[in-house]
Amino acid sequence: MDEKNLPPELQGLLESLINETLTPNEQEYLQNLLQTRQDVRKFYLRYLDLHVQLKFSDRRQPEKPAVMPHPQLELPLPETRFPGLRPAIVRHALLAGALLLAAFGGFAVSLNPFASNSFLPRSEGPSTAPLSLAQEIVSGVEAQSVHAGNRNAQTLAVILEQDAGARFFQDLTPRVGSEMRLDHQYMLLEGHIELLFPRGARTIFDAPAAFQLKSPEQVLVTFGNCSVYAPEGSEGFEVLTPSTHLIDRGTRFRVTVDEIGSSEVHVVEGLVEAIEETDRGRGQVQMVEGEARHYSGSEAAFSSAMTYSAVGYRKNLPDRLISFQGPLNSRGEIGQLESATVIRGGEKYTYLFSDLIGGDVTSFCESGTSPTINFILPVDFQGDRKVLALHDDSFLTGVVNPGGAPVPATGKILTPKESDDSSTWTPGMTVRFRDRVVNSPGPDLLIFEAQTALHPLEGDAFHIRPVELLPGYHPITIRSYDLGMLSPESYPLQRFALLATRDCIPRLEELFEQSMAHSHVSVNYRVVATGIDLSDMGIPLGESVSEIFIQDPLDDEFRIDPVMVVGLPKVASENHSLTSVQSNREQKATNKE
Amino acid sequence: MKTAALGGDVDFNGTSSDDARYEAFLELFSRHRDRIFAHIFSLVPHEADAEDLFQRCSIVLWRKFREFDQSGSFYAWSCGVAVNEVRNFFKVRKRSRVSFFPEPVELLSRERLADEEDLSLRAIALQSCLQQLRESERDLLRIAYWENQSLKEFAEKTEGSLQVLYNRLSKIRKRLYACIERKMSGEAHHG
Repeated sequence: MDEKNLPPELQGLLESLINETLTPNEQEYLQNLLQTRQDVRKFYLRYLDLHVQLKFSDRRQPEKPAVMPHPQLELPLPETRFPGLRPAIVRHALLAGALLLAAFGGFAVSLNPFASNSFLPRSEGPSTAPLSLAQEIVSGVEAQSVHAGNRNAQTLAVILEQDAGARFFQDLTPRVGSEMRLDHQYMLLEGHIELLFPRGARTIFDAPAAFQLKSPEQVLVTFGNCSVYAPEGSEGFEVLTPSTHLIDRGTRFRVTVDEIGSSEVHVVEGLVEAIEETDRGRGQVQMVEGEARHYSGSEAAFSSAMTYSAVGYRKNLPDRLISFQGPLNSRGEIGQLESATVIRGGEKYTYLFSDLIGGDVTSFCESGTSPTINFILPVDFQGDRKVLALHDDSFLTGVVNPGGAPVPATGKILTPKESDDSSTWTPGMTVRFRDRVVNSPGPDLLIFEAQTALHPLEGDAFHIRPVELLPGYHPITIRSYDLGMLSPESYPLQRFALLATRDCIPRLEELFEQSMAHSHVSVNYRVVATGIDLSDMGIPLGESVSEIFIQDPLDDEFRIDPVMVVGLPKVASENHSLTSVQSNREQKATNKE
Repeated sequence: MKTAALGGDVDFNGTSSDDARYEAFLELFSRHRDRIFAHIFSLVPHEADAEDLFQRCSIVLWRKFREFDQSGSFYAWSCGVAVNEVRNFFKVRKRSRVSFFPEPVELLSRERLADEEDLSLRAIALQSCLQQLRESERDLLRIAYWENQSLKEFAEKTEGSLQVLYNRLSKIRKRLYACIERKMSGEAHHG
């Protein structure tokens, strides 16, 4: 390219372009040049690339601090104006870590080229040792959360009220109760979240969604579905999209934004004021219950009425297990269950361990011939192995790695008790509950599993069914746990030991008697957990089960490792309410103090 | 837990296919992230818009990753996805009087891809040229590019003239561009 032939004013135009001071006439002139001259396009691309490379260049000379000293590289970093502008180490750590946590799993940190630099901006300052995200996952150290306990002190904070399997791009999933960051681009890749705003407005986002909190009373939705509820006292709450500006006047509505910034608004209750971004001065429309409008964001096409649909408005997050609690040791590791909190029929219930219906392992059948690990047990365990199969509050006991089949068993379960012919036995394990578990709204069973970051991050898949399959009943396959490895509500598990057989053991009795190799685990485990709704197995509300059968789907080399299977009490309006249980727990805490 | 293990000699090397896919995406995206951003910026030369588009593209790339042919170039595929996103973006924002949208986007994208090797060499040359700047010039670059404040904010804080800062920056970029040209010319002569 001979630059001597370029228009002499071109470089000046590009400087104005970079400074964002190009006039309309200059824009038109530059446009014409770009459309007609290949040498201009080449120069344009090179000059703009110089500008972008300057943005990146602060991290390309780390070995020459004298040239570009950046002590702030070691400090907690605020948001930058430009995604490419985060100083190198943190930028890469955030990218790698965020991707991992959003989607890839912590263990991959060690596999990516930026692993040695992987740490998050932390408030401790420059002396903080780098902490890899993988370490954070397995150790349970929290990188960024303000617990709900601080809520009163942060009256203007937007709080993560609920999380259902949420994974973010470029962010750790905050712990429930954490403060959300203002002016930060959140991208929800999976699951759902509910945010609570200071004056009481609530928004629920369904993945995939992208949004920013512009102020404690204003959210910008750039992609995805957002359900809004503004109760009395929170009127004036604002939702912005690339194509409209909505002011809540006490209502429920949903807004859906597509990839080109067009949006749909459906008013479920109350009143919404909509201001069209195309012409804020005059484009103000009031929408009432049952109305819907489409905002294209194009100047040529103003908003238009469309058919209203309540489908897509989410009043509640899905019924699920939302957390469990237990005493933690000095390393923040859990060993036993104290209580569990679930959403059932849209209502929150917290159950103490003593409220739960215990489940004992009553049959166990391996499916292969390989030697296998069969027991998880406390490190110093000396007693009768039979107790490991019985219900207790410990996560350090369990019968693990049951057999299974790719297709769940739909016929009669045959165990050694029913047949002497080992070829007819159904691989898997039976759990018998100490009381019948009645199908109520939402989850009725909880399964807790020991899991490492090197195993499927969603938890090990499994088939589950009632042992007795009445007409209409059927098995289901669980592939994603409510609280998986990446959930901030899962806990690191205290150290435990393993017992492994040297031969395949089909009978539970033999499992107790067989000589076994005793070993300690060398990797860190967490307790992951999920709720299971009996309705999903075709069991009508009010009906009950006494035994369930669990099989591994043999879809990978990892088998399910259940350390606790429990039933939930039947939902009764006078019992188990959050208020009553919380009152009990608060009373207990007060007594301890 | 992996089953074929005894005495604590547990093999935990396996990953599911999803994990492997995630890992592959992570590696590719990390490797090409800056170039993808630079590509978008050349098509949408406005900082906030380019940032917004980059974020959108990140999501779209992730969602479409299953469609990516692993034998092809991730960067080229990403640029194709980015061009579509830019087109969509233009449809909505074209009315804007303040944003400049270079046309034709596809042609610019194609020519930038073709010039990629040259641009990579120029980025290396830039690092060398930066070391030839005076301290005061590097200070200005730091303020303009690497610190968490806009030039306008800096001008207000120091009660200086924004236009003077623009002019100084412009001179620095022109000097850097000329330096890169010299170095590239030297490379060509030696190479």
